[in-house]
Amino acid sequence: MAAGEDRAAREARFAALVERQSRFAFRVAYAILRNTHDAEDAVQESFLKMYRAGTWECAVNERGLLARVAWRTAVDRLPRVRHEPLDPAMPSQAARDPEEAAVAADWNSVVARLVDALPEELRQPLALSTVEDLNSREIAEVMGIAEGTVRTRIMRARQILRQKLAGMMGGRHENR
Amino acid sequence: MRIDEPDEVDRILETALAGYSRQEPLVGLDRRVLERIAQARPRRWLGFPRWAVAIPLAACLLVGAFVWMRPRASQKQAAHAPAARPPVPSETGGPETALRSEVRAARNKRRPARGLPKLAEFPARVPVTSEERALLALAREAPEQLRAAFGDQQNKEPEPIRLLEIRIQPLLSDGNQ
Repeated sequence: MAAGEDRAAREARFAALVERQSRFAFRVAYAILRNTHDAEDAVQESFLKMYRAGTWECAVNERGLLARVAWRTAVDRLPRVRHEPLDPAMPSQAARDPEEAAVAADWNSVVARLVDALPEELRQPLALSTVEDLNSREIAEVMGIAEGTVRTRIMRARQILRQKLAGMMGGRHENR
Repeated sequence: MRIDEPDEVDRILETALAGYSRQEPLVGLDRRVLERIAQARPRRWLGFPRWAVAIPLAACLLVGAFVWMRPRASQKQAAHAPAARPPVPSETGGPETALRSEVRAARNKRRPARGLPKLAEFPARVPVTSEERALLALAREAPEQLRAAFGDQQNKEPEPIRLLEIRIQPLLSDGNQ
């Protein structure tokens, strides 16, 4: 009887954890996979792993643990679902036709494509840094690398993006 | 105003990166997660834990294997016991093969048979039966009569064996069958 009550209480605690953190886990997975359905599969698998392992019950930082599991699960799925990286020449091609580019210009999507084209070692820390409330220390814990390395990689990724973006905008300006 | 000013680039970059992972999950993600976990949860079979079925089953299998193995082991022992078989020379084997089989036969002869008690005298002594005792007494008291009786038996000629005549009927068919 007591075992049944314990089990029910455990289920309730886990359901509360899912309700509390599923959106956060989804964003972590989405930052890596860039696809809603794949990210949801990764979230489900992450919670299932945590439930089976039972590590969530004694975790001090449940967000950190969940982010680590979700990131690992998403990275494991990455080679199967990752689309071909964007051809880096594509933004320049858009700049060749300034009128059409001006109409379709969505800088957010352009930047997103530039981020997707980055090498994984630079893209992943940058992508995780865009997830709410994840600072460089937490990203370092999630990825299992030094915090200094995370900062260096994010800085390097931003530098590359800035250069490419400036080049595109300069090209467009010159065409005008 | 120039569009490629550093401030403008940074502003576009920051805005775009802020929205890079800002994607909302489909409605009902919590429910789907919990449903998947419920599906993956191990179910109890008829209210019994699995070990309550698995342990007796394993015990039955163990006993069955033991019972099945035991007569085979005794058969194997019996088959090994009269191992002194005469060497069979192979058709293809040369003198080496024959020699090898002779050595094997000699070794088998030397090896005592397993499972049989070693007797001090062979054949073992058997106590004299009452019929044998009466025959011995008769031989002591009336040896002439006994000799005559056995002599009659030995001198008697055996009756010839009569065999029935075998008749084979000729075949009626024309021989094509």
